[in-house]
Amino acid sequence: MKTFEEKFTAWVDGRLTGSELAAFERELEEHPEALAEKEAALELGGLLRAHLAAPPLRNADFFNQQILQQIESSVRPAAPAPAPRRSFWTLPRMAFSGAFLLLLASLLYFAAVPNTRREVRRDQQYVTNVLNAQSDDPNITATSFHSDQDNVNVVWLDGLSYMPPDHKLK
Amino acid sequence: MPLKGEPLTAPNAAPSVPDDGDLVSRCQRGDTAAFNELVTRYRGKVFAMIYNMVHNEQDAWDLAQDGFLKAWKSIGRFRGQSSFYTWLYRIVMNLTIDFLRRKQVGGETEFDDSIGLRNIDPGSVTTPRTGILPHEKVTGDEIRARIDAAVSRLSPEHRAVILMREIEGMDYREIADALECSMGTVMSRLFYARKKMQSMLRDVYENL
Amino acid sequence: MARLSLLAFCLLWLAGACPALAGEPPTAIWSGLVLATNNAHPAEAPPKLRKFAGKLRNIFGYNQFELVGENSQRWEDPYERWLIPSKEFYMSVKPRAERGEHGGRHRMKIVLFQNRRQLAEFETHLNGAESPLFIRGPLYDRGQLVIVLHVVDPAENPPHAILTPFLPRASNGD
Repeated sequence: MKTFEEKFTAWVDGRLTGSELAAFERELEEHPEALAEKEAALELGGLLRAHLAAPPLRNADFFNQQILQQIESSVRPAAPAPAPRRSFWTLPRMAFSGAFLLLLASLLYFAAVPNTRREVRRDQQYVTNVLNAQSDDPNITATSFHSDQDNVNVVWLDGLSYMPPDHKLK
Repeated sequence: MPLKGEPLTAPNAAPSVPDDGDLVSRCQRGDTAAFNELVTRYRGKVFAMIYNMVHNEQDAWDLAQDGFLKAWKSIGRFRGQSSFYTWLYRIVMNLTIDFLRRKQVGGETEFDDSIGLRNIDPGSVTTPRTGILPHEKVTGDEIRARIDAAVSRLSPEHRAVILMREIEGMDYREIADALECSMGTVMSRLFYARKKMQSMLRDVYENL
Repeated sequence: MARLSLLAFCLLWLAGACPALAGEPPTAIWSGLVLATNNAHPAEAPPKLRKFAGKLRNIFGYNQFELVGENSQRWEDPYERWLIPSKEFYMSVKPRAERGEHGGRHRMKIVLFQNRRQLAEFETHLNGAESPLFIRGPLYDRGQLVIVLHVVDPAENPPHAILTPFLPRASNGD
C-alpha cells in the first residue's frame, strides 16, 4: 500500500488514475493547500529545467581517446607460463656466461669503435633529435631539422591553415 | 566518393545506424570501436547528469570516464533486461553517489537530511523568507547560484532522484532501476526532495 | 665460494646497468604554446620563455614571444599521456623505453592534434631546456604559433595546465 508521500508525488506527476486518483482526491479534501503545493512542485520542476543546464562536454573526442587508451592499456595479452624444464643452464652458469660476454663486448667496443665517434655520441647525449616526422593529412608536410647553432630540433609543418585573431586558442 | 575498398551505396540511401543492442553485442566480443560509438552517443548526457550532481567539471569528467570504463569491464554481464542507457546510468549514479558520500565523510560537503516524516505538513505553505526581498528582481546567475546551493544541500540519493525526474525526465521505473531501489522509495525521496528544494527556493520563484 | 662471489658480482653489475639498459620513461615534460610576432618595440618574453627567445628569434625570425598556454605532465609509468597547452593544440605523448641511452635523453612518440584533427606524428629524443623541441604551427593573426617541448625536473614543475586569458597585443606596425 502506498504511503501518503508516494501518492502525493504520483498525484503531482499525474500518475494517479482511476479509483486510486478518486480516493486520493477525497483524502486531499482535508488538505486545502494541496493544490497550491502541487503547483509549487511543478513550478520548481520548471525552474530546475530552465536553469540547470550543465556546460557541454569540452574536448569530447579527447574524452573518448582517454577511455580507449585506458581500455587498451588494460588489455594486454598474458604471457604464457613457461613450461618448467631441466637444463644445463643453471643460474650460476647463466650469470657467469652473461658477465663474461658483457666484458668481452665492452673490450671489443673500446677496441673497435674509434674515439671520435664516441666523443660525438657524448656530445649528442644531451641533444634533442627527431627520428621521423610524418603527416597523414595530404595537405600537410612534416619535416625536421636540427640547428647546431641554437641546439634546437624543429618539426616544421607546412600546409596548416591560417587562424584569424577571433579564433579562440583556449 | 567512397574510399577504395568501400562498397558503393545508392546516392540517397540513409546510412544504417546500429542500435545500442548491436553495439553492445559487438562490445561483448571485444570490439572497442563499437564501445567508442556508445561513448559518443551518451557522453554528453552522462557528463551533464554528473555535473549537476557534483557541480565540478573536472570531477564530472573523471566520474564520467570511470563510469564508462566500469561499463566496459562489466559489459559481459549486460543481459539486455533494461536499455543500455539505463544500465549505464546505474553504474554512473552509483559511482557519483559513492563519490559524494566520500566527500561527506571527508567533511567537504554538508548534506541536511533532517526533514523527516513528522516534520512535513503537506498543506504547509508558510516558510521563512530568506535572501531576496519581494521588490528585488532575481537575475539568471543568482537563480543558478541559489539552485546549485539548494541542490548541494540534498543528500546524494535525494539529489539523484530530483535531477533524474526533473532534468532527465525519467519515469519512476527507470529511476528505480538506475538507483536499484523500489518505485515507492523513488516516489518518497522525490516527495522530500521537492519539499526541501521548495523551502529553500520559494523566495526565488516568487520573485521572478 | 668462488662461484657465489662471481654470481654476486654479476648481479650487482647488472643492477647498476639496468637503468641504462631499460631506458626509463621520462619524468616530466613541459609544453608551451607560444605566439611569435614582430613588433617595433618588442616586449620582454615571459620568464618561462626567456631562455628560448634567442633560439626562437633565430629559427623563426620573430622578435616578440607570448605564452598562450602551458601544460606539464609527469610520468611514473610508461603509458601514454596528453599534453594540452591549449584546447586548440594538444599532443598525445607515449614514452618509448630505449636501450643503451644515457640519462637525459628520452625517446617518445608524439602525435599533434589541432581541434581533434591529427596534424602530424613523430618520434623524438627529447631533452632538457638546453635542447628543446620546437614545432612550427600555423600562422595566427599577425604572428606564428610555435609549440615548445622539453623535459623538466618534476620538482620544479609540478604537473599542471595554465591557460592564460590570452589577449593578443596590438602590433605597432610590422
